[in-house]
Amino acid sequence: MAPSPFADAASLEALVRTEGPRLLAIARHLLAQEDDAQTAVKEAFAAAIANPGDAAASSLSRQVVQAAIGLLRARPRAAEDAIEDLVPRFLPNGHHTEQFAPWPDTSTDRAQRLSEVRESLMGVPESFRLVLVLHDVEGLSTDDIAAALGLTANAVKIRLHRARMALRTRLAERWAGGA
Amino acid sequence: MTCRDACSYLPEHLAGDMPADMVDEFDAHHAECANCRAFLDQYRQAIQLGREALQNGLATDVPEDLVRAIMALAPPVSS
Repeated sequence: MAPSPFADAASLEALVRTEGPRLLAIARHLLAQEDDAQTAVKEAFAAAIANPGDAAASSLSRQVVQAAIGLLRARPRAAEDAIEDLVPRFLPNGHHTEQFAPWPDTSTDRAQRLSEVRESLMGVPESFRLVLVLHDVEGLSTDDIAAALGLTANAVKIRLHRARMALRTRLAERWAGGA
Repeated sequence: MTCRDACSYLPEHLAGDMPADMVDEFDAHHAECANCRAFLDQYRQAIQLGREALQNGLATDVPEDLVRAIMALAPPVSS
């Protein structure tokens, strides 16, 4: 059996330094507050140290997600922007009300574009952004997200679809017209 | 199929689990509706760019205070 990475201080510190940046990035995506993000990472390691059998990096990812969800649930509910303003509207005949202008070539100046995407994501209401990050970035299944958030799988699917459309709208606000 | 219907089927379309009897209608709608083609393309891009932006961004070094706080969680080594 491979030695536990928590067996000695040197191994633990190496794990913190190699896995910590990725875990901190996940927590920042979910929580958008640095103090809470660091708390989530600390809680993830605390859970892993208490149960060394869960030391694999993937388990640390799951634990940081669980810790982040716990912290989000403990936050006072802030008023969110209405998602209805960020999803498509339709005419009575079922056609879009809006004509979708083309975006610029996002393959050029990629770093700047991705920075703009990160900013745009923060304009997606939190409860929707959370589902998008868990599914589209962290790769959790809708069933796993539903269990973690206390929602039905169908509610997660609806929230994910709306979150993606809201992100598209935020990006269009920046980019539509080829800007 | 209307634009509203086409929009509602996007998740299933991208996941490849759209009801078989709707696939032809979905494709036919997009063949004739440039606006829905543009929306589908941007919806796809939003997913891809969101994933890439978060997977590639913000991964900085762990603050030393946090390293020390985690190291303090480790049980003392028994001699």
